[in-house]
Amino acid sequence: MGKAYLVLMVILLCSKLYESASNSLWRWKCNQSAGACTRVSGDVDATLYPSLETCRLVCGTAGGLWPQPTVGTVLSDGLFQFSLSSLKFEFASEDNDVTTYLKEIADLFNKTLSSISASNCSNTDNTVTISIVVLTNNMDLNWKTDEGYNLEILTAGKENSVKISANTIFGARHALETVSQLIELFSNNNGEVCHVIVDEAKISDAPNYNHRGLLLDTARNFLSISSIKKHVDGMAHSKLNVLHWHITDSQSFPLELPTLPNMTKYGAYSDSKIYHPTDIAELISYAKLRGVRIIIEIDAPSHAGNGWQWGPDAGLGDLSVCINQQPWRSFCIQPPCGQLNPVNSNLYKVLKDLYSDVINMLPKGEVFHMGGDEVYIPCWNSTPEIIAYLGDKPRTTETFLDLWSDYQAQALEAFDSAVGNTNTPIILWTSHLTEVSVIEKYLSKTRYVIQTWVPAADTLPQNLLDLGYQIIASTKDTWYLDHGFWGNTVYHNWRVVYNNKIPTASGTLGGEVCMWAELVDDSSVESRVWPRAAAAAERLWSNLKTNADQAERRFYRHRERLVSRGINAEALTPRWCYQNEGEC
Amino acid sequence: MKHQLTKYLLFVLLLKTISGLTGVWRWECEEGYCQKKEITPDTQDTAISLSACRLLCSDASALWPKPTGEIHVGTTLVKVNPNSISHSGVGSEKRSHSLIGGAMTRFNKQLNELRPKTKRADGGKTLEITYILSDPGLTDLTLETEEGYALTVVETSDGRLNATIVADNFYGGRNGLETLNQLIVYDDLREELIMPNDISITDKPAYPWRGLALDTSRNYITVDAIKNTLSAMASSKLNSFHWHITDSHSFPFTAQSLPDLREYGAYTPKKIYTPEDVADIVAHGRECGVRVIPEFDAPAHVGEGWQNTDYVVCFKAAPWQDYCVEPPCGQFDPTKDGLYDALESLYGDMIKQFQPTIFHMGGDEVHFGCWNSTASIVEWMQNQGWGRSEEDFIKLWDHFQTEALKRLYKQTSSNIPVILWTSTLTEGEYLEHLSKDQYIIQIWTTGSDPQISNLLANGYRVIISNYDALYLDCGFSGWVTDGNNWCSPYKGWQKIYENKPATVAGGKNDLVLGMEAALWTEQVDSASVDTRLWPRAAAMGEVLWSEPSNGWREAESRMLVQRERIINLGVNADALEPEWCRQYEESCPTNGKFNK
Repeated sequence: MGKAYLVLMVILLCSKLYESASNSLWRWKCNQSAGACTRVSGDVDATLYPSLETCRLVCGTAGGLWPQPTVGTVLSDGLFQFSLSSLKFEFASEDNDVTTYLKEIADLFNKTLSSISASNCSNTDNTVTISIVVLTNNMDLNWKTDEGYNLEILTAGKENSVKISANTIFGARHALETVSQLIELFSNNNGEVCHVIVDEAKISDAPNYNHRGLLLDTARNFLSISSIKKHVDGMAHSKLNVLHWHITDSQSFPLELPTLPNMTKYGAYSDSKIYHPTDIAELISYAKLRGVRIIIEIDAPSHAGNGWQWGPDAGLGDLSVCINQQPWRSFCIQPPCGQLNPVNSNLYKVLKDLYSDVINMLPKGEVFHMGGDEVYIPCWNSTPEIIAYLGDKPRTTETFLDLWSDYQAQALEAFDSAVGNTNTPIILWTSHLTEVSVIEKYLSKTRYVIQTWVPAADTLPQNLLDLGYQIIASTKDTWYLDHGFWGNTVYHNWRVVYNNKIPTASGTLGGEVCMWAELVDDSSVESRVWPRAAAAAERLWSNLKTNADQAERRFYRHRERLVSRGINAEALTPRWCYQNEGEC
Repeated sequence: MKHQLTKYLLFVLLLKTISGLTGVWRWECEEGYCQKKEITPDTQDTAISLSACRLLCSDASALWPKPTGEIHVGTTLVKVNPNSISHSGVGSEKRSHSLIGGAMTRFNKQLNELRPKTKRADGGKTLEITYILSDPGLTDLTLETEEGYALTVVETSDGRLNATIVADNFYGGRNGLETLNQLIVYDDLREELIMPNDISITDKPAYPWRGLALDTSRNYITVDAIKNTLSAMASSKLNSFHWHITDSHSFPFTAQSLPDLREYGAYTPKKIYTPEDVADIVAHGRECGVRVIPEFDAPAHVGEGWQNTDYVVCFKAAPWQDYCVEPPCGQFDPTKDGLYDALESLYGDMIKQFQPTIFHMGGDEVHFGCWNSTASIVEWMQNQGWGRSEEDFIKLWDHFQTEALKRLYKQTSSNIPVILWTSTLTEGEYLEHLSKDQYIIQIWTTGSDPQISNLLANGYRVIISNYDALYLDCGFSGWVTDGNNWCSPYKGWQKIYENKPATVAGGKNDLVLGMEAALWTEQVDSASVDTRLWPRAAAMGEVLWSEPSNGWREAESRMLVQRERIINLGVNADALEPEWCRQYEESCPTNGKFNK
C-alpha cells in the first residue's frame, strides 16, 4: 500500500480546492418528507448540514445517487467523518485478473475522491474499510454480463465498513461508483475539512437494460483521444456501458489500418487527426476499467467516401463510387457523397483486410456495427460499372435493394472469414432493408441486431420485436443530441431525454443517445453531450415509472458532480435553484 | 478580385530547395475557391497550404471583420520570425505606452499558438511594427473615439518587414494590429509562419457600439472565462463588454462600502469578484480594445445580498408568477429614503472600480404586482394622492429612476451617458420621463417591435439587442417550464449575420449606436460559456464593423476561418460544419458553388 499512498499524496497536492461551505453564512436542512434540502442561515445546529452536497447525500429516498438504484435503497441520515488516508480496501477474490482489476478500480476511486480534496483533516482515528467480494472470474463485458451488486455500509464506533458483493468485476465497479456518490466533503466548525460517508446504507441494484450507450461520431469532425476519454469518464459516473464509435464516414477516415495504410493517407483530415491502433488499444483498456465496452462501427456501403479513393491507383478498380461527386443532392443525402461499389469483387477482399485489422484491435468475440443506413440508389444507378453489371435487370428499387443485400451478405462473409466464426453479432441501423415487410427476406434475426433511429411515435421498434429481432433504440426525436442546431430540429432538453421510454420486451437490448458531429468538435462536444447523456443513463439503468420532475434534484446534483470530476457539462438552471430546492 | 499566383509560385520554388513538404494534400485557388488536390511529383514545387491559399484566394484575404476601406494584399508570401518582432512609435512617456505593450504581448502569444509546440524553430524575416498615433495620450474608449487605422507592410531592401499602423489613438492602432495578426498564418506544408510582404489596408467601423452582454448572476462565470471572452471580442473587433454583474439570484460584486451585499449574496465565498478581479478585467479589456461597462440592474432584478436591509420587497415571494418574471423575486422599495444612500454608496464603488465612460442602470421587467401587494408602498402612494393604476406605478418608478440617477451623478465627475433596457417606461407616452440627452435605450424586443420606431422617432439613441436574433441563450432547456426556453429556437450565426441594424431601425441608423448580443446565464456557466458565445458573437462583429450588404452565404468561408482563429485563442468556439467543409469550401453544404 506504500506506493498507493505516495500516488495519492501527489494527487491531493495537485487537485483543485473543493468549493466548500466553510466561512459561509448558509447551512442546509433536510426535510425528509419532501426530500428537499433547504438553505437556512443562523446558528449552528446539529441537524443542519454544512453544505447542500452533504445534505443531498442523505435527503430523500435516493439521496444524490445517479442513476437511482433499482432493487432497494436504504440510507441513514447520519454521516461518518474520516480522512482519506484512513480508507482501505480488502479484496476477497483469489483470481489474479479479478484482483488486478479491483486494485485498479480502487485506485480510480481514490483518484475521484481526491478530486474533491480535504487537505487538513486531522481525524485519523476513524477508519473506512471497503471490502469487495466478486463471485465469478468472468472478465468480459457483453450483453449477458451481470452488472448488479449489493452494497452495505455499517458503522461501529470508529470503524465504518463498506461491503460490496457482485457476480462480476463490472458489478463491483458500479458498486464503487455508487459508494463514491455516498461520500462528500464536510466542513467542521474548527475549519477542518474532512470526507464523510453515509454511516449506514443498504443498496441492492442491477440495470434494466444491458446496452446503455453513447454514440460518438468522429468522422464529421475529429475528436481527440483525450476528449473521448472524458466521455468515457462521464459514462462511468453515470453507469453507461457502451461507447458506440461511429469512427468513419464519407467525410473522413481517421482509423489507421495496418494492412490498408491508404485509408488514412487519403481519408484523414490531417496527419494529427488519426487514431492509431495503439490509441484504440489504450482506449479499450481505459474504458474497461470504467465499465464501458467499445463497439466500432464502420458504416457501409453508404457513408463511405474519403479514404476509399486509392482503388484505381492500386489496380483494384473503384472501391467506392460517387466520391465527393457534385451536385451532391443528386448522389447522396449529405455531402460529401461516397458509396461502396458492390459489383467490384476486389472490394470484398479489401473489406476482409479491413475487418481483420479492426477485429485485431478488439476483445475476442466483441460485436461489430456495420452501419448500413441511408444507401442512396441514384448513386449506384448513375454508375456505369453498376449499370453494366445489372445487365437486363429492370433498374427498379427492388433490384437495387437486392444488390444492397448481396453486398451485405458478402460483407458478412468477409467478416466471418476474418473473424473465423459465423456467430459474431452484427448491428445494423434501420433502413430500407429493415422494413417490416422485407427484413426477413434480407437479414437473419439470429445474426443481426437492429438499431432503430425512428421517432418515438413510430411503431417500427415494436414491430421488429414482434418479428423476433433484437433491437437497440436510438429514438431520433429525443435521443439525437445534435438536434436543435440545424434545420427544423428541436433541442431535446434533459427532461425530454429522461422521459423517453423505450420498449421493455426482452428483445430490447437497450438504447443509445447519439452525438452526430457535423456541428461539434473537441471545443463543444462535452457540453452538447453532458449532462443529457446522463439523463438517458437513468432511463436505461433504472427505467423508473416517474418522470424528470421527480428526478430533478438528483440530476442537478449529478451535473455538479460531472463538472467537479472534470467534465464540462452544461448548466441546467441558475445556481440559485440548485441551492434553493423546490423554489423554481 | 483574385490575386495572381505567379509571383508566389516562383517564390515557393526557391523555398522548396531548403525545406521538404509534409502531408499529401495541397490547395489550389480555382474559381475563387481553395480546392483540395493531391500533391503529385509535378505539383510538389508549387503546392501551397490551405492557410496560404486563403490569404491569396479568399474574399478580403479571409479577414474578419472585412475592412471597410482599401484592401491591397500582395501575392508574395514570406517567412516571418515570431521571435524577431519589435515595435516603436509610442514612447514610455505616453499614456497609451503600456496598452500598446499589452496588445503586443497578446499579438506575440497568438503567433506562437499558431505553431504546433514541436515546430517552433527560429528563422525567417524580422518584423518591425511602427505606430503613428495622433493622440497617444488617449486611454478611454468613448462613443466618440476614432477606432479606424491604416496598415501598410513593405519589405525593405535588406529583407526586413516594415509594418506601419497609422491611427488617431491606441484603439485604432490596436485594431490595425489585429488585422496584421490575421494576415500572418501557419503554413503546415512547410511548417513555418508566413505573411504577405506587401499590404495596404485602410479601415474603420460603421458603428461605435459593438457589444456583448454577459450575466454573471444567474450563474457565476470565472474571471478567466471573462478574460477569454474579452480576448475573443478583440479578435472580432467587438469593443463593449456589458457586465450584468448582479441580479436577484446572486450578488458576486464586492461593494467595499456595503460588504454585506456580497457576504449574503454570493453563491459561495469563492464565487465572487474582488476589486482586484474587476481591475484585472478592466485592464485586460483596454488592451483588447474593449470598454467594460457595469450594469446595476434596478429597481427589479434585485434580491440576494440585500437580506440585511429593508429595501427589497417581494424577495422570494411565492407563487413567483404573481410577483416577478422568474424566481427568485425581489424589487426595490422606492419609498425608502435609505435606499438612495445605499445606492449612492454602491454606485460610488462601481465607478471607482470600473471608471466607466458609460453606465448601465438596467431598469427592465419591473413587476407592478409586487409593488401593488406591498402595503407600505400602497400607503405611501396614497399619501402622494396617487391611485394604483399603471400610470401611478410609472410615477413611482420614475421617482426611483430620478432619485437613483441623481445619486449616480453625485459619484461621477461628469454626467456620463446612462443606458436603460426597454420596458414599460420606454413605451409610448411614458418615454417623456426619460431625457433623450441622458439616456441611451437598449432594445430587447423583437426586431420588428413598434417600440423601436417610436424611440427613433423621438430622437433616442439606441443599442439593438433584439432577442429574436441576438439572445444567445435561446434554444436550450427551460428551467421553470418543461419545454425549451422562452426565446427558442437557437439563433444560428446565419440569423445573426442577417440581422442588420438598418433593417431593424427602418433606415434611421444615425441614432443606432450599434448592437449587443446578450448571454443570459440561466443555463450556462463557465463549463459552456465559450461555446455559447463563440463564434456567433463574431458574426455580429462583422455586421457592426463592416455593415456588409451581402448575406451570410458570401461570408461563410471567412467565418469558418474566423472560428479557427478564436479556437487558437484557447476559446472553445462551437463547430459550424464538418471539417470537410473547411477543406472543400467549394462543396460545402451551405455555401458551395453547387448550392446556388
